[in-house]
Amino acid sequence: MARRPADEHLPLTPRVFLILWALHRGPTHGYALLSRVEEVGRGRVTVGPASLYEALQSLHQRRLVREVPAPPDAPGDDRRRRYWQLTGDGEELLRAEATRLADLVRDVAASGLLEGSA
Amino acid sequence: MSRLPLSLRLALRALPRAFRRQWSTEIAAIAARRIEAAARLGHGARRRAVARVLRDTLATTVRLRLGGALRRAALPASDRLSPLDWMHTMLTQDLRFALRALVQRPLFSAVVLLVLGLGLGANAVVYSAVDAIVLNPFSWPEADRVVGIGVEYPRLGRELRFFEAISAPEYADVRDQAGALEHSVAFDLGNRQITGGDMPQNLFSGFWWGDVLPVLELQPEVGRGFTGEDFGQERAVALISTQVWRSRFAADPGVVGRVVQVDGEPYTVIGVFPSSARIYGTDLWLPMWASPELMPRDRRQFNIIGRLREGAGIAQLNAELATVARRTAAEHGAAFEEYEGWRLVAATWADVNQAELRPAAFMLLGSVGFVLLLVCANVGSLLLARSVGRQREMAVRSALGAGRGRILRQLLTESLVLALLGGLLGAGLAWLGVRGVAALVPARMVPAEAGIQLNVRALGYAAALALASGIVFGFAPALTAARTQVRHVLATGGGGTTRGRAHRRLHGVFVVAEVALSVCLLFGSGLLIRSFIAARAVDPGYTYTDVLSMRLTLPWSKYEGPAIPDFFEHLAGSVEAIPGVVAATTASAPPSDTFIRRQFSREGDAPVTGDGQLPDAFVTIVASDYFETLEIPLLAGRVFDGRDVPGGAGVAVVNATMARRYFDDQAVGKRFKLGAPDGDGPMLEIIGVVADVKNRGVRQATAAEFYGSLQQFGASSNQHFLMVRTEAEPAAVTPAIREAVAAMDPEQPIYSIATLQQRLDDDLAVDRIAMRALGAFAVLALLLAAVGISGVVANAVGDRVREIGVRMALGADSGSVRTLIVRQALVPVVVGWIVGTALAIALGRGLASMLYEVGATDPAALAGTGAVLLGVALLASWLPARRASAIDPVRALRAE
Repeated sequence: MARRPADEHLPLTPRVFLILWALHRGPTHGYALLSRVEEVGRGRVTVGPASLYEALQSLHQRRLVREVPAPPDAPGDDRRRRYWQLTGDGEELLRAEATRLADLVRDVAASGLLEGSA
Repeated sequence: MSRLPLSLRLALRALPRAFRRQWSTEIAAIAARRIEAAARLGHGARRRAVARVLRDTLATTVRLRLGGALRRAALPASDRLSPLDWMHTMLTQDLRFALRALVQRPLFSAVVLLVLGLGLGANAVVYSAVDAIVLNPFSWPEADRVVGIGVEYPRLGRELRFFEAISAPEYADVRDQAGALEHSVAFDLGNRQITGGDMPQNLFSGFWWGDVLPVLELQPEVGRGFTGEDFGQERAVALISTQVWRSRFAADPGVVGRVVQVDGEPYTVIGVFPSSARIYGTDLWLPMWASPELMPRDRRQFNIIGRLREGAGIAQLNAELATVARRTAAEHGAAFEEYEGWRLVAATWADVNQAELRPAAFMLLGSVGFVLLLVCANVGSLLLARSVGRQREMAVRSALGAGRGRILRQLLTESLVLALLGGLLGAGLAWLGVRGVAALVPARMVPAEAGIQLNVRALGYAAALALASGIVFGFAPALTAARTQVRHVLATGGGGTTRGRAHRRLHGVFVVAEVALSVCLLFGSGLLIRSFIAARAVDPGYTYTDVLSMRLTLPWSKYEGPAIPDFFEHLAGSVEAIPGVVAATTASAPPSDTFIRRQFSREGDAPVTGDGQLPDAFVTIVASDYFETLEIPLLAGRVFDGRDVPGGAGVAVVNATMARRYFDDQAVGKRFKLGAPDGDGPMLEIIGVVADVKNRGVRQATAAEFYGSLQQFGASSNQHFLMVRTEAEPAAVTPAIREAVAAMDPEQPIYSIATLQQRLDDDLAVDRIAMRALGAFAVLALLLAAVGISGVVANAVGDRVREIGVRMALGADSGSVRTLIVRQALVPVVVGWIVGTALAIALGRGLASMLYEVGATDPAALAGTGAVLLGVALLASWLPARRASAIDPVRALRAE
């Protein structure tokens, strides 16, 4: 299989994966993103405001996310905030990682490792 | 939007500037909203939210600021760094932190560095000396392949001897049959005079059966070495040492081809040998003229030096030598009984010549190593005390995500930096100190021309010790720090009050170690001091104060027969005329340096058969006034006088040991013969018995000895010592003695000038050096232990201010507080003393070979050690204890 550009970023750290996943639901600003991360991550990974922006900065530099203008229907307070959106590469990377994880889980399940533990 | 807590605002400011500019508004806004949301759930929830955001911000700061490999290092997973990353981290960040930590506490760092520098410097100096004396005494290429060959004749009662022990035909056997030897050369030693030029000079000379330079893998400085044609055909050629070349010929390269007078005979100089080839200090080399095969088999006065062939080991050579010995025994055993069971043994040249200094050398190296261990214990104790003050720093770093391994590594780096800086300082101190030590060691113990120097090996040794010490003294504080409970420290504010029981126990362990090490050094030095005093107190049996001795070697070409005793008698007479001289006499050897041994048989003894051996005794040829001059008492009969003339009946005076052992104390009038009863040695009648003198050095029991008279036997040797008793300072008469000699023969040099006192002192030189060095180490150890003990007590007092305050508030007086502190301080001291005593007794056995009339478990030394140590420990704990008793209870309680 030809090596795709996304492969060099794999595997993702749990924090980055959760942020990409949270952004997958649609563009949003930092505070909401943080809440989404906690929601999808169900507290498995701690992300705070500083580490969120650390990750966003790095994702931005790698063109995996982009800044977008606030949607016109945003509440007044939120319209001043910076909104974030996944790029195509970001989507692809998220899918690649999800696929990798799914493959992994399938293999683990097929090995019988999980039987009896449920 | 409410204001953020101060801690968060500070944490935000710690973010890298570029990142902060870009994002801090966003981060602050989110943080504020989250904290606000949490606050609605209650005070606790708000505090937890603040803590979470704070931790996240600080961790992000560390990650962003460090980057790359450092980013990984700062995370808890860093415990599994690869060695390369480890090095990188250590060299960059850890090192920076370590240096900063050092600079921040200049006094502490200075004290630690000084103590370490002294310890490491002392080790480097002692190692330099040990290296020059026993480890690498010879600087020749692959010097460990240069061997000497010794010989043992059980039938003659002769133990293995390497020096002047073998005969020329035996050498020829070895040379021709031992294949493991690439080259081997036999040589004899003696004195020759060179004359011509401004001053006659006595040169210690080697007489060679071959060119030794290839054996040493050296080249002549100028000219050439001996070649085959120089041997066996009376070629009058000579090599001179670089020293003589410089002093006598101004290092003139044209010296080759010059003719010098050696004992009055013309010799052509063919070359100059390098300084490092000065075997046994020889300055003049001459070829042997007679072929070794033609010399008598039983004239055993030669030495063999050889080089092992590439790839051959000493074991192989020894196996070959065993074969040589068997073959020789088979061939010549009938004519020479001593070949029955004889052995030829090879050993490295360093073993042959320096082995006897090895016990003292390694004892001192071990002792100075003990001093370094003490230094480590001290520094470790200091670091431990300091680490308490740094608990908060460590806790914060731990909270920032630094793993236990990370913190441990950081602390170890600091210790290593300390150790290496201490090592640098030590190298500097050693560079200064090594000259002083070199001056204390007699030159005869150091074969290398360069003497004792701080070389690469010593520096490498010191560097290795520095590294090891860094790990040793750094480990305890590092481990305790890594065990520190982060939450506990942060919660209590992490002041100096949370010193745990573990800390105190570790301090106790350090004190035990310090005391135990001091006890060992003190005890060892006590033993050596007692032994030295005992050896010094030995009466050698003759007057040695204000007696000057010197040696003269008359050239055979000018003096022979009665001319030799006549010269010395005449000389003694004219020296006695010098003002300030009480008496002058001569002897073939100074009283404690006798070296000639002869076998003898009593009249009526049956010829020796089977395993029987002839007895042997030292023999010294003396002038008739020798006993009177040196005040050796006559016990029976008479000493030599005018009746004992050459050609008359041979007479001898024996010492008390010989009279008792061989003549049942009824020696006068008895007769004995030199050599075997059926041999043709001269028969001597015993005319007198004199008291024993210590004729093998003061530490050895007196051996049987007999004296022959100068008139009867003086012609048998051309070398005699002149001994001059003076009224005052003996050295003052030396110029007048030179004049007296010159008046008789202007070309006659005198040499080996020393007072008998100096010769006796020289006999104890190793003892003296060992005693002084170990004594110095013991004093150093005691000082270090005292500093260590008082530091620990001071710490303990500081810890217990409150407790002491309570005690005093409840009515304890200052005296009882002092007693309490001192008593508790003495617990580890006593434990250390017990441990140290056990260790010292075990180690003392290793000293046994160096001791004279002192047991290795000498109770006086043990008691002395205990008394000194307890005294010092009491003083060391008393001083800080006084501070404790001065505590004001009110203030102590209020301070909490």
